[in-house]
Amino acid sequence: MNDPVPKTVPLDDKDFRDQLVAIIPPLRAFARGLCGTRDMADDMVQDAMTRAWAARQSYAAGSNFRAWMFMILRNHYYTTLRKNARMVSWDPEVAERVLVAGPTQQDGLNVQDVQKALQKLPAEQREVLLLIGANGVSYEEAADIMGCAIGTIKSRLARGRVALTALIDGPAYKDEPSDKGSRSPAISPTG
Amino acid sequence: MPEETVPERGLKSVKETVIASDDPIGKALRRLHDEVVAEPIPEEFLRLLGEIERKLNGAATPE
Repeated sequence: MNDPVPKTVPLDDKDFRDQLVAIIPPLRAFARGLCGTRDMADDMVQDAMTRAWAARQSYAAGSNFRAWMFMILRNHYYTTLRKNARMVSWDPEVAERVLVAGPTQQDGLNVQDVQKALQKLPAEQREVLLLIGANGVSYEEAADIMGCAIGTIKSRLARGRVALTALIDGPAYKDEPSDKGSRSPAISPTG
Repeated sequence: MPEETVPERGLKSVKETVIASDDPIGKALRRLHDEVVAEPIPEEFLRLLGEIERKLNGAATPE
């Protein structure tokens, strides 16, 4: 009678597994954008799935599963980056092999140019562009995922778009020397 | 195992979605996303799901 109301009602294991299956494609896309390479991104996604499965009791049924999974993935990504301070998230030679082959410029910008330019942005700007621009999440959901205020999201998005446009349009982009240190993603907490 | 945070709380639902549909940057980002989403799910993911499936079945099977 006086039992406390549980904070969360976990999802049934079978339903949880089904949600996990459904989230794989968008999670892979988000991870690919973050990491820049297919193998690293897929490893991240598998780790995130394993962590999510282990923590499934803490997921509240009916809440936003996509946001929950994206949050686990990004937390894992930042932890990995910090553990491997010298980890390079973008290897042009590898990327040349793993990025989608064939025509990718039906109209407007070339997708591979955008992918390359994304990797030169600070990670916080990159992820907000991926979440909102690519995955179509709301400001509110992005703020939940990234654990910051909506104003911060808007600011990072605006700065990221300006920076991305400058990288794509700017003369420095295509002929940039490789020894400028720009291959290491910035992970400053303020973006 | 993981030291990073796994969120415990429920998250808000999707409400306000933004980015102009005719924005070239937005278009390119969405193409980037759509191309990966359209890829078949790699074998290693299916293996991982198979492990989960086995755990599910194992838990459901009486001794």
